[in-house]
Amino acid sequence: MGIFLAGLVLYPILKVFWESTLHNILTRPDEGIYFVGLDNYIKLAQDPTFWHTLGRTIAWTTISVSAKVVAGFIFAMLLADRFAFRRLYLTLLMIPWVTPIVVASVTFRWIYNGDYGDLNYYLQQLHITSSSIAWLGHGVTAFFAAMTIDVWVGVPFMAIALMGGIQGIPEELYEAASMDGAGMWTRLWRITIPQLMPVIFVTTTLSAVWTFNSFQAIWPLTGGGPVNATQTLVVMTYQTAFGAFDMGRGSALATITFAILITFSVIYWRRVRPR
Amino acid sequence: MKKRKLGKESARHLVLIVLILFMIFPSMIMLSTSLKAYDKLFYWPPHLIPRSWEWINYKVVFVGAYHFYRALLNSFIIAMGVAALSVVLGFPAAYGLSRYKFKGHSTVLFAMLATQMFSPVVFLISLYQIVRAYGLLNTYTSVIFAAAALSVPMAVWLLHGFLSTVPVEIEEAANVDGASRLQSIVRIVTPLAAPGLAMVSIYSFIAGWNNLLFPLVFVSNEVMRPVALALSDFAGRNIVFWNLMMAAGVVATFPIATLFNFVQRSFVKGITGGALK
Repeated sequence: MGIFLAGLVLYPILKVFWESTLHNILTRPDEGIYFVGLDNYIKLAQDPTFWHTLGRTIAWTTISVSAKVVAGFIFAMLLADRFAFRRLYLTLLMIPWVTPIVVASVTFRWIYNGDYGDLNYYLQQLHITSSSIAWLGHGVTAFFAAMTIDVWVGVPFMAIALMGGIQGIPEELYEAASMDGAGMWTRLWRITIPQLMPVIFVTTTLSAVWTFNSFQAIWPLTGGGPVNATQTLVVMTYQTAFGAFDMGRGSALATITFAILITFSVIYWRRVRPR
Repeated sequence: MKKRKLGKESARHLVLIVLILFMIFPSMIMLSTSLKAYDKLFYWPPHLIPRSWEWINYKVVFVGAYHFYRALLNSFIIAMGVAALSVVLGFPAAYGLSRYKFKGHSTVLFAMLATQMFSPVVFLISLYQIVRAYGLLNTYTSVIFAAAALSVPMAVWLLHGFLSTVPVEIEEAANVDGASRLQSIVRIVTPLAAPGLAMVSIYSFIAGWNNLLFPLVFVSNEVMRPVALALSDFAGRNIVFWNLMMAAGVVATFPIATLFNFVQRSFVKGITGGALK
């Protein structure tokens, strides 16, 4: 077990550090493989595409996670206590979660279709738009189109986790507050949300990591395009290493990804560490 | 007072129905498109409920030019392999971690969790070079081992939490009665941990089934493609048979949805640690 993980996890990480200091382009064997120190990182730092991608990844993660938390919280509030048909709603809510992300991505690709897609039809029926839009053909719409998939898949987990948290809040707190004449909003802001903070913190960190790592939602939908509009750090790493076959630069990107993720992991660990 | 409560309840149902419809809309499109004939796909306005239900699409997907049954079989083999490795390697490790406190105990646990949070992209380049060096491109082995590298730590983490709830006293009692450590693990701990083991194997199965990145890089041979890769390849073609693709999507979702039902609750509990009770 230890050997297995050392071989398949630790060794690859150390190797990727080492690779990131090499010049190694698979399609240019004539240039050879040689040590360049931090050259790959310096070149990345000088490349505006890298900074755009980093900014885009931060926007992608922040907006998507916020949307998931808000939507998940609304569902959690609506579904936390017992009422008729609750199980039916819960079961239907699970559908996006159980759909493999690749399947979701491919389905949305059809829904977004500029000529025959259902999204255009319903938007026009509701008089929100007047003509068909090629959703995946423009940078901004493609970015949010991809994000919609990621949010769609991620909301159920958020809803279930927050619902568990809401159910764990002692009833007495609400009773005492009602006695003091607290209204719905006061109870929400003074009891539910503060009591829920530990759960929100843990689920947000987890969700941020998953969202940051999201590859399956983007790749089958847009492949990172149009013109890099949906390229996040993970997609860029893949494209650099296996599209351009620049292993050195790809490894440098993988190392940067690793550094960001380990930061998240440490934050998360401080909360869930068994004592 | 009662009237007000009734009003509140109907408001709740109204909001829920709208929100849930919104959430299941894509799946409804998937299902309805999967039953349409190819030429009906391009009708405007689109019909949400197909005029005629073309179940033959499903047959075409399985045995037609796409040979989707191959992809399903590949995914099944990969997912089973990942599940088996996760349980076989994860269980002893989790047992050790839950029964013995040693130096670096908490570091090991952290490492388990941290691995789960890494993107496969971090490992991808080195694993690719290893796989290529050993001539394992286009094999199940490469995809299974790579995917297991990410799911084994998760298995250890989840099982560790589960085994911590199995009281040590039961084992000690068995030891007093003359059972060896191994006997007590096999006879007592394993049956008690069975629900946890089931959860972990299903979780790893799903992870293996859904993985896209490793097959994308390790598998180029069409015959070896798992479902995730086959689906994203369909999407890249010039003429896309959306109806067949949606049928394939439904077929790919079904086993996962069924399995997922069993583990959803314990998974949420396991991954959010002490934050949820």
